[in-house]
Amino acid sequence: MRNRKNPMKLREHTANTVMLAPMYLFTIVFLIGPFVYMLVLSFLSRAETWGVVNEFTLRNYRRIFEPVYLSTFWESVKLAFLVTGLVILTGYPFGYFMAKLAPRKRGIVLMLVIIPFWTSSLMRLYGWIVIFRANGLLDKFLMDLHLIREPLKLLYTYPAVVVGMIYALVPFMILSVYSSVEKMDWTLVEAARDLGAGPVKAFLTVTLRCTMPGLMTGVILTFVPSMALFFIADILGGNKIALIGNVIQDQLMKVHDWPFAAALSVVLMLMTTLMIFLYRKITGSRDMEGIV
Amino acid sequence: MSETILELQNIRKKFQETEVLRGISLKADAGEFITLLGSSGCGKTTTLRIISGLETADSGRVILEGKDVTGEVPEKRSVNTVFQNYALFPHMNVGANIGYGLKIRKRKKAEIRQAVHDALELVQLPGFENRMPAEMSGGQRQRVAIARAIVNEPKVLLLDEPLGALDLQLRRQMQIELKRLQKQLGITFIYITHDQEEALNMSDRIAVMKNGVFQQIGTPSEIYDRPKNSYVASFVGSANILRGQALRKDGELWIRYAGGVAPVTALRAVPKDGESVTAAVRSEYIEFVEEDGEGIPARVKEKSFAAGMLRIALETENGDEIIASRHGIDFSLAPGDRTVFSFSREHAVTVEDRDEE
Repeated sequence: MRNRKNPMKLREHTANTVMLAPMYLFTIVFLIGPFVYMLVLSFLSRAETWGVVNEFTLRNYRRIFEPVYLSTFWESVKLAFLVTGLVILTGYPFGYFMAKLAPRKRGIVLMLVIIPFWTSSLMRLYGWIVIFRANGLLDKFLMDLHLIREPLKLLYTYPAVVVGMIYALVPFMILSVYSSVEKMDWTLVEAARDLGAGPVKAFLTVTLRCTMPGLMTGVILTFVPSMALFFIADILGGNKIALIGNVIQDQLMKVHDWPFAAALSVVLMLMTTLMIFLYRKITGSRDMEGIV
Repeated sequence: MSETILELQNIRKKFQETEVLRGISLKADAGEFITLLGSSGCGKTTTLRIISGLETADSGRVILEGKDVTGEVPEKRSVNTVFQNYALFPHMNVGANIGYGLKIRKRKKAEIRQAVHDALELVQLPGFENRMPAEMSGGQRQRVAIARAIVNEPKVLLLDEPLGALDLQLRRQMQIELKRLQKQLGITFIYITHDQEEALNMSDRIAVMKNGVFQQIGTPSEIYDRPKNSYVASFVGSANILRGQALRKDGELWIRYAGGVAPVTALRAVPKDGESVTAAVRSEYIEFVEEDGEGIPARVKEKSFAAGMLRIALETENGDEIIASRHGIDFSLAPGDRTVFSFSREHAVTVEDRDEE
């Protein structure tokens, strides 16, 4: 804005605007437009039979405070924290050691992480059904090893949903951790060792801090979807586990209460925004390693 | 000044199939400034890393304060390093960077604050505690890196080309400052550089390194005036190397070289008559004699003038290039002219021939 008075800069500015117009247009049509639509919808009333009536109300938001929805939110947040925690514990070491492999091996492991993305995630979830169902692959395997006598019958249980979510989300953690560990300047760790820090201390004070942006990006990419991945809860949890994503889907597709579904979505988005705000607080960075 | 603080005993190191260090030994006294001088790839950085413990030797021993630390991890050695790229922690401010080592050793907060303050004063950056490394110039970061190392009061400070990234003027200034700091602190410095002027200016002793071996260890004047071999002579002070035969005449030593004869001084063993001998002569000592005088015939190849010095490239009859230099631009010979050059006896010394390696 300081450049207003400089005609050259001004011309450059205009040129930039023209060049960037398609991007702005795309953002408005596909991002801001739908969001505004959703926001407006969340303040309208549901019609008796089908659709929406143009009648302003706060009822949709008030409904969220009904115990059944509050507890769903709470369950979703709890699950999201659990899944995120487990994804950090598995994904961080994986990404870290992957980045430290020799280039050839690293390429192979990287491919193994990426290849599953070539198939639909829905298809891959059905694979987990084969593994988890009573007398399925897992039960048979454990019984053959005589580790268990009775089938575990894991399918349609909470642990099955957790495992399914970790499976779906851990690649994002691996890749974002990998990208920041790979950029790591290892002489910093050597400097820490030289100054008297043991390997663990050097990791905690230097490596972890330097790879924090990657870790936090992974956390966002895990936490946010894990609140809303309704189809994992559907497929691996049966009807027993209802997350906020499932409630939104039900309200939209089965009950056809669009305004309420919109209100739930707005709250979910606010929680997401809060997460990103915390991310910026913690890492002190304003970019998201190229992801958002 | 005679107490040995650090000793390397016959250190060897291989990376894959390449032998980087081929049996090096060195003794450093308390408070001594030792420079490892050599071109890149000679093994000087590996030597430093073995002293600090960031690399382990395949064989040989590292003795620090009379204690064998060969297998000891870096954090257990009373040695600190100033890294070539400074390696300041980007997420910590200057104060936290300098206090890092003390904090690891669980010193009291007030004590750390005082030590950081004093260290910054010592490197002439008082009050810089709250700056971030990214907000500082290269020279300032350099000083912080030095402060971060010396605040731990190491017995030996290792410096890996610490001035390499600075411009010439700043480098000169930092040379003087580093030397002052070293005198003041009385810490043994092991300093790496490929710049022979830097080595000659600052060091108590210089170890000239090539192909993983110390070619010569000695004081700057020993290295400069009494080079042990042709590599040291040509690397430090870029001397001309003359390979010829010894000639004994009237009890004095001469060199028979490229169809001529010139006087030389035997630095070590006096070669027998007819034995092959190598002599080193610096460019400023090459003199031109009368056409029919005693000396070595040559042809003027080219002349160039730079930084107040005239540089004349001569080609001898056996195809060697000899460089002569003069102050001022006045010189009558032109490229293509034939001439005869020689030098006085005290300026030509015999050296071991070491270019085959």
